[in-house]
Amino acid sequence: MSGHSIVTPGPTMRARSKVALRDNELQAAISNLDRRLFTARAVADTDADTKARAAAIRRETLSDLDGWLDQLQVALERVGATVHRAATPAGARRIIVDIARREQATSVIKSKSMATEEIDCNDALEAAGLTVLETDLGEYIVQLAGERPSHIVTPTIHKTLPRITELLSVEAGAPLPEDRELLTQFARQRLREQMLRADMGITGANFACADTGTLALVTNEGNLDYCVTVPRVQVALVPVEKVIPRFADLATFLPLLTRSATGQAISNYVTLLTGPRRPGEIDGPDVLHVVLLDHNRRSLVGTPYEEMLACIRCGACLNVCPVYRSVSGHAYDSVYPGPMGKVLTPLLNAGTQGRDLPFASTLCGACTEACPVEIPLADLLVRLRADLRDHGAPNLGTRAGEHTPHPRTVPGDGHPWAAATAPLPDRPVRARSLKRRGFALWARVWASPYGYRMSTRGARLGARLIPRRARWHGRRIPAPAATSFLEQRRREQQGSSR
Amino acid sequence: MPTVGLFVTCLGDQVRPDTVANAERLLVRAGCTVEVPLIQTCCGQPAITAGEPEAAARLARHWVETFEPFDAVVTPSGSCASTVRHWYARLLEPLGAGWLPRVDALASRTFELTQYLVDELGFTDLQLAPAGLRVTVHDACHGLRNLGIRDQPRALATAAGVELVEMSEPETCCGFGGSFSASYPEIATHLADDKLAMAAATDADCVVACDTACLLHLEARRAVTGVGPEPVHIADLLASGIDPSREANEGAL
Amino acid sequence: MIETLAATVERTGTTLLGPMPLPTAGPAIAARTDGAVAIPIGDPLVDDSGLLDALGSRALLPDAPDWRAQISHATAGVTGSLLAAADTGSVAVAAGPGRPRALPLIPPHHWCLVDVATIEPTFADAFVRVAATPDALPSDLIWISGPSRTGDLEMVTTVGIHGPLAVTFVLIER
Repeated sequence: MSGHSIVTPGPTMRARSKVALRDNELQAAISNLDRRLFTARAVADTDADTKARAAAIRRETLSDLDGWLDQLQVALERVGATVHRAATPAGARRIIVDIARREQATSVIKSKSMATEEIDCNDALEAAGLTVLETDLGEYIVQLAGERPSHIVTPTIHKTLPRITELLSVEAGAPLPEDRELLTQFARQRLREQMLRADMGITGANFACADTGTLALVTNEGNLDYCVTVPRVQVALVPVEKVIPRFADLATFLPLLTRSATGQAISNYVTLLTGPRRPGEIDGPDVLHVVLLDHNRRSLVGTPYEEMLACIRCGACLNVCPVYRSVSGHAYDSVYPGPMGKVLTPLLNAGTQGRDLPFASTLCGACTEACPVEIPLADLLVRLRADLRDHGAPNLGTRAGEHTPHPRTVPGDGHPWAAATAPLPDRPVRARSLKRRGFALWARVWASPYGYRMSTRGARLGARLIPRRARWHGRRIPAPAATSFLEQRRREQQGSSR
Repeated sequence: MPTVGLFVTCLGDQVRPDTVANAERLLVRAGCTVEVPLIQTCCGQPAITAGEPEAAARLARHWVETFEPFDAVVTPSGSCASTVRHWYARLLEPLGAGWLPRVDALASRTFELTQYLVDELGFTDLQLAPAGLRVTVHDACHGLRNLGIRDQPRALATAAGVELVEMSEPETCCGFGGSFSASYPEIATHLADDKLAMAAATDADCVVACDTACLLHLEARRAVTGVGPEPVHIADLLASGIDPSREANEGAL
Repeated sequence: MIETLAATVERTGTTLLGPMPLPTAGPAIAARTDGAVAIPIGDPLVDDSGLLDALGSRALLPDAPDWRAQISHATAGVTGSLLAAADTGSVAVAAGPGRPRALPLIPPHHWCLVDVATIEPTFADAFVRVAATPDALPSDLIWISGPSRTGDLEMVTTVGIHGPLAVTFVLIER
C-alpha cells in the first residue's frame, strides 16, 4: 500500500487551498494544531542560547560537509555498519531494494522517516514483492488511507477521530468505538503481530554523529525500537545534512528538537544506535546498512541556500505558519509542507516541482522566529521568488558582490561522491517575462517624483470608477483619497509662498 | 531637537492621508521639527516581495537620496521602516562599495512612528478624549519581527488612558502579505476573518495597528461581514487626544 | 534528587518503588508480577538483586532456546540502568550480551532498577556523563522517559501504543 493521495486535490496550491478552506472537517482537525503554536513560541522566547549553539554547530558542519561525511563513514564502518552513498532518490531506492533482495527479506517494518517519503521507498519495495508496514501510528493510519502525511511530525493532523475510527474499523473488519484508548489498543495488537515477524527494518535518523558513528532517533511510541530490535536487517536512510560533528552535540540538539517539535523536554524514547548487534547479543539487526542521501543537498553548500541544510525537521515552522494553519499540509502537495517545505521542495527538485510554493506566503516571518536553528526562512522565500522569476529554478551561483561564507566543495575524480553527483538542469534566464518588464517599468516611473505623481493621479481617477458596492473575494476595495497627502502639502506650500 | 523627515508611504499618501497628517501632528506634539520631502515616492517593498530586486533597488536608491539629508526618518508604517532596515543594504550592495555605509547609516536612523516616539524620544504625554476607550492591538508582522515593535504602541495607548485588552493571538498575521492577498485571496480573506473574530471576542471599541496595509485589509473584509471592531491606525487613535487649541498656539499645521 | 524525580514521574506516568537495598529488589518485583518475566544476564544491578531466585521458573532468560518466541508472551521485562535524569524522569538502558534490546520494549510492563547514586539532576547532566566515554557506547543505548505514548489521535496524548504500557523505576540504595 502506498500513500500518495491527498485530501485537498488540485493542480496548484491556490486550487488546493480553496478546497482546504471549504472542508469543514479538515478545518476542525487542523485547529488541534493551535496548542503547538504556543509551544513553538515558548521555545523561540526562552531557548536563545541553545538556539545559538545549535546554529553554530550547524554552520560548523556546513563549512566542510563532505569532510564530516567522510568522517561519519569511517566511524560507521568502524562500528560495523555498511555505508552506501546515493546521489538521487532513484539511486537510494535501488540500493535499498538490492539490500532486501540480497538479504532475502520479505517483510519490512518502517519507523517514521520523511526521507523515505522523499525517495518513494515503499512503492519500490512493494514492486519488488515485499510487504511494507508503517509502524508509527500516524504513518500507519495514513498508509491505510493511501494518503501522504500532512505534517512532518504529526502525520494525521488532517484527520478527525471519527475518520480515524472508520479507517481502523475497516482494518479490524468490525466497527471500533470512537475511543482513543480502545483504538490505540487495537493498533497496538494489530501492529505488534506484524512487527514481531518482520525481517527488515527501515528507519531514518534524526542525527548521525561523525565521531562515534552513532545514529540518534527520537520517538514517543517505541515503534522505532521494534524496527531495530526484531528484524535481522536494518537500513537507515540518512540525508546528508543529518551529520553532526560529535556525539556530545546531541546534548544541544535533542532537547531543542523535542521542545520545538512537541513541547516535550525530551521525547519518550531516545535511541542511540552504534553499529549492528555485537557478538553475544541476541537481538538487534545482524547487519546495519546506512544509506547517505544527497538529492541535490550538497550542491547547496557554499550558496545562499546553504542555510536550509541546518533544518532539524522539528516542524515548528509549520505550527506557527498562518498559511499552514489555514490549509494544512496536503495543500502543498509536497513531501515537505509548510515554510520549510516551501523552501526545500524547489531546492531539492532544482525548481522542477513546487514552483508556486514560495509565493504562497505572507512573509510574516513567524517561521523565521520559530526556527530553533535560526534559518532565515522568510528571506530564503524572497530569494527563491527572485530566482524562480529569473531562472525558473534556484540560482546556485552567486550574484556579484554577494558574500559566500563557505567554499563549495567540488569533488574530484576518485572522491566518493564524484560518480554520484547529479548535475543540475540548465535553465536560461527568463529576463523577458511580462511581470519582469511590468515591474521594471513601474520602478522607473515611480523612481521619479513626477512619474509617481502623474501615475497615481491617474490611478486614483480610475479607482473612482469602481463602485463602492464592488467586492473582490469577499472584501470591499478601499477607495483612494480624493487628494494625496503630498499633493495637499504641495498646494499648501505653493499657496503660502504666494 | 532633530529634524525629522516624514516618510508618508505610498499607501498612506494615496489612501490614508489623514493618518499621515496625524502622524505628523504627533511628532510635532513630541517636539520635533518635521519636514515632508515632496520628492519622496515608494520604498520598493512590493518589488522585493515579488522577487524583483532590480526594480526594488531603483526605488531604494531614490529613497536613500530623498531622505539622506535628515537627522531621522520616521514613518507610520512598520513594514516600510523594516524594508529599509532589513533589505536596503543587500539590495543596494550591487551599486558599489560606497553605498553600504550610506545605507547602513540611514537605515539606523529610520524609525517606525511608535518606535521613534517611545524608544527615541521617550514621549508618552498624551491624553485621549474620551478616556477609557477599549482597545485591542494587532501586531503587524514586519514591524513586530524585524523591528521588535510590540510594547511601544501599547505604552502609548496606555499612557493615553485607553483600556488595553489583548486578543488571543495578536501576533498572528492578518493575511494581507502584499501580493499574497491577490494571488491567494481565499487564504487572505480567511486569515482576516480569524483576526476580526479574535478582535471581536475582546469586545474592544477598535483594533489598532501600526501599519495601514493591515488595517485596510481588515476594514475591507469587515465592510462585508460586519464582524469585528473598527480598525484604526495608532496615529489616528492617539492624535484624537491632542488638544487642538494647544496645537494652534504651537503653530503646527 | 529522589523528590525531584518523584515529582517528575507524577507527570510522565512512571511509578516509583523504593528506595530499597538491592537484594530486596528482586523479591519485590517478583511479588508484584505474575507470569513469565524476562530478565537479563550480566547486568550489574539485576544480577545482585535476587530476582532470578525470587522468580524461579517464571524467569525467562536470554539463553532460553525459544527466547524469541517466548519474549512476546512475557508479562514484564526487567533491566538495570546506567544513569537517570530527575528533571525528565529518564533512565539510560544499555543493550549488550545477555541484555537484549527487547527487555524494556516488548513486554507490557518495564521494571527498571535505578541506583539512586546515578540519578543526575538534569537530562543534560546525564547526557554529558554518557558522552564522556564515547568509546564505551553500546550497540543500543536507549533513554526511556515513561510508558509509550502517541499524540496522533487528534493531538491528545494516549498511553500504551507500542512500547510498555507501564514503567516502574525500582530505586536502589546501596
